[in-house]
Amino acid sequence: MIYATYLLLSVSVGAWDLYYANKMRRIKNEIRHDFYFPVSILVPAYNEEVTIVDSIESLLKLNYRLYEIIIVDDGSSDDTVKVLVEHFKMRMEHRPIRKRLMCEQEKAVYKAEGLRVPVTLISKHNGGKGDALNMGINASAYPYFLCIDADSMLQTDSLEKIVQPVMEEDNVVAVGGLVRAAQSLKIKDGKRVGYRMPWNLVTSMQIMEYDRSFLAARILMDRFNGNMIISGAFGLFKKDVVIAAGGYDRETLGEDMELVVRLHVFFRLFLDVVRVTAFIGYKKRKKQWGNIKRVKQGGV
Amino acid sequence: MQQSVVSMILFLYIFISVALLFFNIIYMLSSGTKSKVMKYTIRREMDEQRSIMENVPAMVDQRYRRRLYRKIKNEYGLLICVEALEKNYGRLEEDNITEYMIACRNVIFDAAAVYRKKEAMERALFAYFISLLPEKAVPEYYRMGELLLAYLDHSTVYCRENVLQALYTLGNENALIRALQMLQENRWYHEPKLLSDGMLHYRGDKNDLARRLWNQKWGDQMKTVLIRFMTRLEEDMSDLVLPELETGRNELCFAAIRYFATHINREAEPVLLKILREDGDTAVAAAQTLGNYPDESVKEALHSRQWDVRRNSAESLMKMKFSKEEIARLCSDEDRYAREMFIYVLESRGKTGCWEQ
Repeated sequence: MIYATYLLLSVSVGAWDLYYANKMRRIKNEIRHDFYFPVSILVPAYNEEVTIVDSIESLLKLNYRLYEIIIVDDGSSDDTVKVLVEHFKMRMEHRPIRKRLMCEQEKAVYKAEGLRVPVTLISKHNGGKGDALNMGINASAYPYFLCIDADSMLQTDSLEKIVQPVMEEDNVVAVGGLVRAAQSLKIKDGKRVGYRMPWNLVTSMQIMEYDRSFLAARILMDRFNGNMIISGAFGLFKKDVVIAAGGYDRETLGEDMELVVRLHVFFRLFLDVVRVTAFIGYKKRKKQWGNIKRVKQGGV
Repeated sequence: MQQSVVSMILFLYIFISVALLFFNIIYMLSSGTKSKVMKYTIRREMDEQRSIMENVPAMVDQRYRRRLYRKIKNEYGLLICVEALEKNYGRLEEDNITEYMIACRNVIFDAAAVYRKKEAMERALFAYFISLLPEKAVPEYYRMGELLLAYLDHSTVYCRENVLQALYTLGNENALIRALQMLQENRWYHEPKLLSDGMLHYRGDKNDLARRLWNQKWGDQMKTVLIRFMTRLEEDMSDLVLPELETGRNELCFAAIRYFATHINREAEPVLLKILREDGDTAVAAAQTLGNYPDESVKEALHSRQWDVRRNSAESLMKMKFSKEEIARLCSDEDRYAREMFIYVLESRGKTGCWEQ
């Protein structure tokens, strides 16, 4: 009964907020700027040799003026590092990294030359996703960072959209994006051109659950500044705030939720964790039960 | 009894959910139709605007003005006009659009009064419409600036941003100053970056605007915005910014230090060096700026306890020229952190050898 009430409320509030946000955008009520804040995109990777190059290539096509990409290889046992170094013609550099957050030691740092966007690859000893993200934060040059998964694809306007709430209010320190399963989409040149439910029942249920969670529940929780999670697949954070809170927990499985809850506790009234309601980030989901179990266990 | 109440509530929820589902289906179908109708309406409006703009004084008669007023006094009609105008900008000569906007001036002023009483969302749309004015039409709309000031009250950040954009377009200095004062007096938060970058779109004399703004009474946040604005101007305003370098107030000091990175002024150098030696928060910015003021003191900053100061000092040293011996000395410094940073920056710049004085 309580859950039914919560579901109904969240769907109603979510639907209303989305309608209102769409209307505002249609009648030119939005912040437009040529040059938003510079952002570091952190991509923790573990055994992603198959998909990593495509993911990074999609990140290089974002419509955003100033950003960098930092890939953190968390001690992969496959050829993730080799594939990246060869494809992007990276060279090793002896870069000192300021360790403001605890993380495992780096083995090597590589940098790609001649790309539109600075791309850095840090190969380190295995420490988990939280540890890899901490390394990425340590190495980042910009005041905001965006954490994504190595198998995530972003729309070309993702960065622009996720940064806007930060420009609208001064107390926003973290912004979450909408994550959807790639099987439900048709993407062309980084833009969503179609969206439909697949015929497979299990995948459809996953997609519905994603939509319910992002488009309903989180929007409702935002009303009370009660959002307990910003998805690790697509979330923007203010770097110095996360560092002050101690960074990602290296021992936990749900490091994204753990960080957001800790930010709430750490800052209390000064924190405003905001959701962005836009169809922005897509995550590949496989339909086998086996893979769902691995996701639950929090593998990178 | 309790069970039946719970069941009733659950049935109510099911009913609401089914109703929401039907609503969504109807909304999706109708919004598809609406967007097609809107596209068609915009195309028709574009054609009408084009035919009128090509023959302005004759076509903009009393009847057209009345029709235009009826159209734009509601939000949907105004949106169609705005979309059509934006598309026509690429297709017509700006002079045609200018003549059209001048001919419709009275109608637009009347509509401004109507929109003053509407919701913030609609006021924002009207302000956006004004920001589309072509440059040559601006003198005829100068007074619009005063009318738009009323839009700032009881509004949203989007409305305020659109009003500011309109004021930049109008080049109305007095109205713009008043708008910024209202932001400060009412403590309405407006992203400083939007303010400082937005002022670059000001259509009047930007240097004059900067000096006039500086003469008003502002808090630290607005002063920081003004310094960032001045940083992007060509005219040298060091006389205004130099005193802010020694205030000790971080944000203001940061902005002033960055000003002197682009506007080189030897009078600022001793102050920058003092900030660097004090090794506080602002030393990071000072280390970067001093790359444009070649001075041996920057070498000492390589030994700073602050990581960012060491990095910025190393970057600044790359702009200076050194002998082989000096490079070798820096590359074999006893301070491991200084050595590491210098070698990294040297390698990243491809300076594997040395560069002579």
